[in-house]
Amino acid sequence: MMIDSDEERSKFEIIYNNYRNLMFFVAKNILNNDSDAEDAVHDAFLKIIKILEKIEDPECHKTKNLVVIITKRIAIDILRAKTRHETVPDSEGIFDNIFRDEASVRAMETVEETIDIAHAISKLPDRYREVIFLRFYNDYSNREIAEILNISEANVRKLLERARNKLSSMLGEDGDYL
Amino acid sequence: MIITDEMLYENAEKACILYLDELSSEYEAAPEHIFSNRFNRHMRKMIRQQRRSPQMQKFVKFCSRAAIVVIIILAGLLITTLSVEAYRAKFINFFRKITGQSDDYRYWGGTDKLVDVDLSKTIIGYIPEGFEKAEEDTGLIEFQYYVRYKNSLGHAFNIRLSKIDENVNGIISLDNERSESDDVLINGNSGVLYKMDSANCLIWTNYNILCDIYGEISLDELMKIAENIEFSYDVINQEK
Repeated sequence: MMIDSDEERSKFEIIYNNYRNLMFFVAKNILNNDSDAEDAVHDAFLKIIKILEKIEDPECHKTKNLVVIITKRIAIDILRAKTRHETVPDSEGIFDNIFRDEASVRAMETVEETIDIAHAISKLPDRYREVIFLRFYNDYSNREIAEILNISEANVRKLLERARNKLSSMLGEDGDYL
Repeated sequence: MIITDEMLYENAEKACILYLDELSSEYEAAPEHIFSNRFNRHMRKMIRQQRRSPQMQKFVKFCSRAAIVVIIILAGLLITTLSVEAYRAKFINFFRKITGQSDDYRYWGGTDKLVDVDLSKTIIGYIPEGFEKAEEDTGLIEFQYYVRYKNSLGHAFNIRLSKIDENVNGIISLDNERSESDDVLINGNSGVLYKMDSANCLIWTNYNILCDIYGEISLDELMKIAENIEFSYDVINQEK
């Protein structure tokens, strides 16, 4: 875990300056507490440093996506630890949907028109959407995703499979977003 | 509907941008957060630690361990000679415990505080040519001042000044197999100079201030820097 070069140092500073407030916002929505949210942001930066070499452009959507996912996962871990919900299912537990506000859930339920696959992906439950983004947008391997999310590779494969099934059911036989 | 990899590759970017746009609209509507001093301190510390080369990190770790050696030596002087330096050293206490292959030391401040020092007002009177201040921290912890200098070749050295009093203590394990040491005098104060393969370290005390300089500079430069440090302190009970 090191920032070895000037390039990586510059990369980290851009990420820190550009995203720390967004990261706090993401964490605060989950933890509902300023101090815990700041802890989550701090821990997220520690995680980001570990994978800094995988980040090519700190200002692109891929990086923004990555820092949001990392922050959200760490915030959820903190929340789990605080609330001692040790038996919450890893892939589809109640924590996965904490961040989704009611408006977006309503939008998913009420849209009746045909919507393309991209819209359907964006409306997936958090856990499913994250693995799809990391695998098919950020181009990370299952092993890398497992490292980022602190889960096993087997769990990554399982989540990807469930995400596909969920997308299939959302889009229906004709490709309609039900 | 069968969802293929090709479909996901084609649509993931658009989906991600849709999601981030939605998130950003919520984020932009939220009031801006002012991060706490605690958070900023932690981040500064993290960034500082990350800036050090792996070699320097090892050396910093070593110096943390080595620092106590100096204190032990000074404590020995207190017992045997009652010199001026030894008198000053009584304001730092020591306890040594040998376990296995390491010597574990505990240090803590004495009950008498000899000087009241504002470390942030310290003047570093000599800096080797080509080095510039890369980082300075006067607020990381209130009893410590830290400054780091670096040159264009990537060589760096750090100066750390720690005020030891009744509220400051620590436990350090010593591994003294990787260095050679010499006793030195810094403006009349006893210290120890450590020589390693790629970096050097100088540790000494000035009243109840524990000082160390470590980095990729020569022994002569280390001594010169140390001799030109000016503290801003009031001696509050020298008569004791």
